[in-house]
Amino acid sequence: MTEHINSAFDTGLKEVNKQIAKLGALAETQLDDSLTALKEKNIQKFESIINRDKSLDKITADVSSSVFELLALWSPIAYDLRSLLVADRVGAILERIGDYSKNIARRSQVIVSEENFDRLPVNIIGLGQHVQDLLHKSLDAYMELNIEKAMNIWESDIDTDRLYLSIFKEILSYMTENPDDAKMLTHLIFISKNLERVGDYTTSIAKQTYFLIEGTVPQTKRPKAMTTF
Amino acid sequence: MTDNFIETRLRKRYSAEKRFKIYSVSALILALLILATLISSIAISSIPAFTQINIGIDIKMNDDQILQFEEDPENVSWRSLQKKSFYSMFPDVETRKDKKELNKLLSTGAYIEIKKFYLDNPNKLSDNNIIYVPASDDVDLLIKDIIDRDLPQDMRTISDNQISYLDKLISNNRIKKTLSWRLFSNSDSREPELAGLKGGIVGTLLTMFVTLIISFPIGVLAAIYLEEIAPKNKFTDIIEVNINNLAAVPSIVYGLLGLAVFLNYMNMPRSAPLVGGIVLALMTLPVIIIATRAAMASIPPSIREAAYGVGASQMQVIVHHVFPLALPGILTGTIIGIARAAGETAPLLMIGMMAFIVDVPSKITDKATVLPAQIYMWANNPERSFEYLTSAAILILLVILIMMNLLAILLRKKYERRW
Amino acid sequence: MKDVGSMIPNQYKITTSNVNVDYGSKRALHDINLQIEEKEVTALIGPSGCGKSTFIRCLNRMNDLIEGCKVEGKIMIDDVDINSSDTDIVELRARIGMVFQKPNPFPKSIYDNVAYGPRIHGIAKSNEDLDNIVMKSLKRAGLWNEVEDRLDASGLSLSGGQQQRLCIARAIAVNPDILLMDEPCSALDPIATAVIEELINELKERYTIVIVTHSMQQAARLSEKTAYFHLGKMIEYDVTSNIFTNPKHEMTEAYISGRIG
Repeated sequence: MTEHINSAFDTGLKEVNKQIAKLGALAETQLDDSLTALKEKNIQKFESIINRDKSLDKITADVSSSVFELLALWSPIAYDLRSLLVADRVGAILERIGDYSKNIARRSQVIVSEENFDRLPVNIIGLGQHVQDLLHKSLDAYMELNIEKAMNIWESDIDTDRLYLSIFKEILSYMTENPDDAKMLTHLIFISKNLERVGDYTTSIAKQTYFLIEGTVPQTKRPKAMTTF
Repeated sequence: MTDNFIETRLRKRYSAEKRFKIYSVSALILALLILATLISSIAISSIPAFTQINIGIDIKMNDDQILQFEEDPENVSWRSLQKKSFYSMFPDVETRKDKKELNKLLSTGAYIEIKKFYLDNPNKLSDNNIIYVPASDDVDLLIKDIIDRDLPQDMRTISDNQISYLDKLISNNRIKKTLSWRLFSNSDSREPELAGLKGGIVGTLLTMFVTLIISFPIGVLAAIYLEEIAPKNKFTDIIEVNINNLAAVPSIVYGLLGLAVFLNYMNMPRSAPLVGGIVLALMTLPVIIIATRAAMASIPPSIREAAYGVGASQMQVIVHHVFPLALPGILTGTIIGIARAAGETAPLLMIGMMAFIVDVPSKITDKATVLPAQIYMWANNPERSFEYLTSAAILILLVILIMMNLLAILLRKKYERRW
Repeated sequence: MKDVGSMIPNQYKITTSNVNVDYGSKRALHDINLQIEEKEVTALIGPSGCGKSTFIRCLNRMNDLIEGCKVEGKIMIDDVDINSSDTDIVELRARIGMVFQKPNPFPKSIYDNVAYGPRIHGIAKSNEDLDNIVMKSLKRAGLWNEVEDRLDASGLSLSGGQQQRLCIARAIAVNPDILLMDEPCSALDPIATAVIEELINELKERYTIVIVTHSMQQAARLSEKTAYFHLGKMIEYDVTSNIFTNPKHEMTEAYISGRIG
């Protein structure tokens, strides 16, 4: 896209994109930290994750108000309009991802101190890394306006679903064997559900990227695995 | 440093502006002064022409004359009635020479006033009447103090004897100064005290009437064609250039054309307002065409588009919109053109309208003269009184032209529309 | 395409095929093919000098008035080629009303402005009839309530927006079925513009409207279809919402979003 004749809009749009990039980096850090903290059972890290969530919320609010102002002042159309709408939505998604990371940290805080924690057979970190990877790629696709990358994420969401499903099944069977650990296991189910949601949101980012570039939503149905049974 | 520089520059600019303003204002003042001098000198020197000195004569008709009058007023010998009555007021004057001098105090047309008096008052036929008749031009000038009575006798046109007669008349209260309307009521005469402008004014009006009737419709139609209908090509360009050039052709050329075509070839009457009007119409045509085109070109195209847009034909656009809207401008241009024609003498010279014509014309084929021609001829007359009459005539012509221009301005003010 | 168009009855109100316009030796429009639906608003947008005004003036042959302007190609209105020699131009212009950029009421009374068209076309049978036409037209143009008690006042005494509505009333007084509007709001303030836009929305129930506008927002708000013109060519023609959300052509995108194209 070429520059606008009136550069003020471009400046505003660049500012918004910069904020989104910052927000994306923060959301990635939060997710990464929550996983490492879970792995390392690092209580302090949990605290800092929970505290840091506020700055995410703030940046998201900033993005929202900048977008609102640009919409009001410039009445952008076509690509310009889409880029603002998408920025606002991606901002909200990243904020949600931040929230999930916080939630994971909170729940982890509770379960890491449980005695049976270390004996858990589930590969929750594996799911986490997969989702992390998706988040990174989706943000790349969005920043680079790369429609192919976006479509790849779209398609690989099915892996998230499968991973989540297997974890879910494992926890469920473990739970019948060890009803005493029900509290911890419930938290674990929530954690993995949160990670699965983050995965969903990365496809959302991909979808928004597609919409930004093409002006339409992807026509093909997203491949889905059964998440419940 | 730079502040100072800017300040000096600024001051220079302001003073340059002030100087410029002063130049233009002084140019305007100079022009106004010249105009004022011209008009006031004309006005002042025309004052004597608007008053008239009259001499009262005691007249009583005898029975024979009354009888003659009752048969036919033309039978009365008005001149001798005037002479005898006047001489009887000066019983001391006996010699033929003195009597002749005495009679010269009166205008040669004095008897006409006596005749008019009796025609107007047939009931006073047998009365003793004091009838005021115009004095001769020399008496006129003397009473108005234009001729200095202290000059030696051979240096003035009035003799000592005549002055003594006048003094007697003055002491008998028989000299009366009246406002004179003869400039408007009399036509031309060799005698300054009798000469008037009626012939010239009527001749001018008739001529202008012919000019207007011919040049307005032709000019306007030609302009409409050129401005609205004609395609823009070489041919119309040439016509346009020629029309603009025609407006600058010396007016005498039109006179020559009139002489060659209308008088010699078409055998139209000489000295007639008809021919004068046609010649002046030819001269005015380019002016009217140019004014009309300018007026129509100034109608905004949006009005035309609006009319075409609702489906008006070209003729409807012109007749309903362009022409009515342009009319004030057209009329202004026409009146100014006509006013210019009214002041022309040169073309009329060639077709014989520069002539001494006593009768007031009553139709456009009568012999006639026009105001400017009359002014020119009066200025050439030797009698001193004509000097004042000429000024008066110029003033009247100026007033007529100013009134025409005023009419043009009023028309424009009244009908001018803004978009 | 040309052949098909001449064989099957035309379902469009206006169909132009291969319209070229030349001003002297300069080509102002290249090969314009456009179909305009009945009772819709079609907006023409594009930068100045792109030919959109020239195009709209082809539709009622106003270009005939411009010396040296030559129009080629076929313009079908209801299956009649308006460029053919037996088209009566006066009748054509009565069928196709036009509203111009600058409000241009005649310097006559409000009544006479509206009555002018019906008068010259002999539409009204009586004075009463004419009164009715004037009233109906002013009502449709949404001006009646503002002027009913001063129909004798000069049309020029109205405000700019009212003058423009008077011009619309004048155009619809002769019962056209198409209204051409050449930037009708460009000389008006936003409120007067909004009033006219609302009026256009009402008018499209009866008339096929083609509007040239410089205001992207106006085209977006008013029209069903939008055509983008650039340098005498029609770059894109589509449903308005497509043009403004997702134009196919980069030049259109650049123009509507104010980019350096």
